[in-house]
Amino acid sequence: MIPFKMRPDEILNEARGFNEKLAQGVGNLMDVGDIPSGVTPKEAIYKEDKMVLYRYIGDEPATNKTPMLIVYALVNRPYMTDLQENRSTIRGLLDAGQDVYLVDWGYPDAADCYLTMDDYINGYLDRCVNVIAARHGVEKINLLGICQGGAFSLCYSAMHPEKVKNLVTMVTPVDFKTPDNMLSRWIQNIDIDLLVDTQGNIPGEMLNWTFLNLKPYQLMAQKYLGVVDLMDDPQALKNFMRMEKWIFDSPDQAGETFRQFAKDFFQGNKLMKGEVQIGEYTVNLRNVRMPVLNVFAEQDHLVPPDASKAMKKCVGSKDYTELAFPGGHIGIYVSGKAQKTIPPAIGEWLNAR
Amino acid sequence: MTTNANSWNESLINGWAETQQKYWETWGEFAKNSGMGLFGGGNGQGSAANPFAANPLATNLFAQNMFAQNPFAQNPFTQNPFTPNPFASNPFAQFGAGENPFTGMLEQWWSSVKPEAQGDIGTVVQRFYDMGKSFMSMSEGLFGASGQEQPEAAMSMWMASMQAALQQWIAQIQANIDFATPDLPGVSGTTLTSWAQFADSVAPWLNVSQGYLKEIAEGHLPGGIEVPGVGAAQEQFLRALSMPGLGYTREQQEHIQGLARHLLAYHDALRAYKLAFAKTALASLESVQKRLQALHEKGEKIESLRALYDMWVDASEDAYAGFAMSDEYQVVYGDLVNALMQVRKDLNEMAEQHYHLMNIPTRSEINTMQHRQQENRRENRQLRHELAELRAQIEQLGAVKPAASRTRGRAPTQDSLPIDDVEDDLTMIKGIGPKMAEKLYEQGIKNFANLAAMNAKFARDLDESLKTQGRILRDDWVGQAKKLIR
Repeated sequence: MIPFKMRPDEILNEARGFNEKLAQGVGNLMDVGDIPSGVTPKEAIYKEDKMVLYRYIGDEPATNKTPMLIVYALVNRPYMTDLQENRSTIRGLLDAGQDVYLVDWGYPDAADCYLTMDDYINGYLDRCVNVIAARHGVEKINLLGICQGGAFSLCYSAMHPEKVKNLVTMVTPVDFKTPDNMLSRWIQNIDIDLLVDTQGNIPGEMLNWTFLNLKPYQLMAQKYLGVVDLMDDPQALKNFMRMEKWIFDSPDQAGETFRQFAKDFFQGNKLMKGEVQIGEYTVNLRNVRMPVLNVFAEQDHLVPPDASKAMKKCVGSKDYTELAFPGGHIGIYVSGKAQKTIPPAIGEWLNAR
Repeated sequence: MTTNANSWNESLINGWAETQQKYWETWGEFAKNSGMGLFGGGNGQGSAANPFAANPLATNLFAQNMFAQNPFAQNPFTQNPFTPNPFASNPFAQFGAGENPFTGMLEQWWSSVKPEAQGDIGTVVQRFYDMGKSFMSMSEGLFGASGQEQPEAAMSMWMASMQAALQQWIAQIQANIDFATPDLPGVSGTTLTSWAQFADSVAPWLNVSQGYLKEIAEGHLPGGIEVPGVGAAQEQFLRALSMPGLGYTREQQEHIQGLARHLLAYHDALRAYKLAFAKTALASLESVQKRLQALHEKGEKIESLRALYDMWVDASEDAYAGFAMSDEYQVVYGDLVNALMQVRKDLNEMAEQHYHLMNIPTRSEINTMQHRQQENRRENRQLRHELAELRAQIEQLGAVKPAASRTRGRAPTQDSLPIDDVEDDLTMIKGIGPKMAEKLYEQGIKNFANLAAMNAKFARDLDESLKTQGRILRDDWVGQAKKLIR
């Protein structure tokens, strides 16, 4: 028995209404115009190869004298933290008195495929930290790492603890083999060496295909249906397009970095075991003794909460705080609720230290 | 209009025509606004440019199959097996053989908008179109099967037909004769379609490789074989492929044999993946049915297409998640990626051989260079870093005036040996001012003993490098220093 109550004319009306909205909406879509990659004013401080270090300009001078560096993942682009004026984690951090810097990794091309995690973390990132520390005449700065960038920040803090005053990690995986980690399950049977040796860099489309397939019905179909209802509102449509642009703006990932991240982190789960070797360093999370704020999303389908919470028993810090957000991997940066709670909480935590 | 479900009568059909009319008015407005002028910018009302003015759907714009421009047109995964609508009792059959009215108007709209929507917007419009198409195909499932007395029955019939299509698909996959993915509401086989697109981008002729395999099989087996990918035929083919190559072209033969083996492996892996996927689709259908049953038991009704669609998506996502987290998925997914990469690797190697013969630089040569270059850059960075540190240390040493002043006036005792780390106040020597003292520190000359140990040649060289115009010898720094340490 099908519990279905619709008259044919109602079906017809709904279908007609849908098509009309869609046709009209696409008209509005054409008028959306250029979508900016980030909205908060910023200045480039330091450049190296394709990497740029930015400093964001707040309305008021920062009250926290220790500058903060945001380390974003290599997948996707960092403007997710600065999508629109009222949806900007960076704006929120500025308003919370932080002096915000961000490292933009750029789009690696085939000639960058030999960039290793050592190059990224002990090279680019370390030099960014040095530049910021020198500018402010301080020895230590605050680090805020996001997702894969969180794992990078964690490694950096373990290798260079003398340069990190406080560490904030957001949706950062530490235990890569929690039973609910779909992404990790998928990667276990993949011959990473064959993949990297054959492809060089890992194409952004491949990474994107993988991420979207974690929830294909919602992410590739249903969400567009939902937007059809908003399509007569140009502002809502523009906001939708900001997110859409971001989701499909996927840089390729440098082959050698992907090789180590996939093999050592995802397949070997070596970060937890203290067996990750980066350049001349063995990454021992016990060296992470500075205060740590670990922020995770309770409905994260990419980095399950348990993957993040494993950090607690791995780091050497006595001042370890967890902050759980009731939302998803992306919602933690862009949802209205997150705007009101997350950046102020981070600011407060940092200002108290 | 009556509320009776069986009233697919003339007035409803007329209503449909009105819907089309209205739709095209909207469309015409949009076309005008976006400057496309495809239909003379007319607003459609009775205009000759209106494709529906004469006979709805008769001047079918999308008769020239929208997939014709699709670069993946030859791709067997992207073709819709349901193009001839399985819902034979479609009330619109009179409008055109087997056309889906809802999807049809979407397709028509799409074929017009597509050339105008370029870049980012074009891609997004494509996604809207894909989604809309799957939504509309669901509507058709209900709408099209309306020969039945009740929509409930129409829905049952529709679901049964989907189930049958899936089962048929599974049988086809098993027999290696499947050439299409059934169009399922919600996602339309997007996972497979997007995989096919990715695979195409990695190894552009994968989609014709079945044919290629057949050609190789014909070269290796007398008379060839019909479908080299399955069962006994595959075994026979594999045996043929393992024959050692002979003669001058031995190496090339082996490459081709290797590629053929890996292509077979890829098609096997893809078949295994599709099979698992099809079974999941079947499971998601069951999951939909369970939810419907649950609603029924609670006495609730679904009252809109959208609500049905959302329920469908939730149920499908659940079923999919169970599949995607399974050990089976881990294996079929990994095997698929690995098999694809192996084929790509073979292709790369064969291409490189050709380039090599033509004296064209190859990817692996460039890789070697890039690898070395990156190592050099890393080392260079490291050395520069060390150099900067050393320089800073030296500067620090040179700037340690206050430290030197600690020894001011202290006559070094005769028995103290010249230890290089000892810093004396060199300005105690006539002719050495603070600036000169700093220059000497930079040269590593930090104490009286260092100065006293200079021979005449060293002093002359130092004089030249510091541009002191003979002052070192003239003022006898060596003699003065000797006196100070005596």
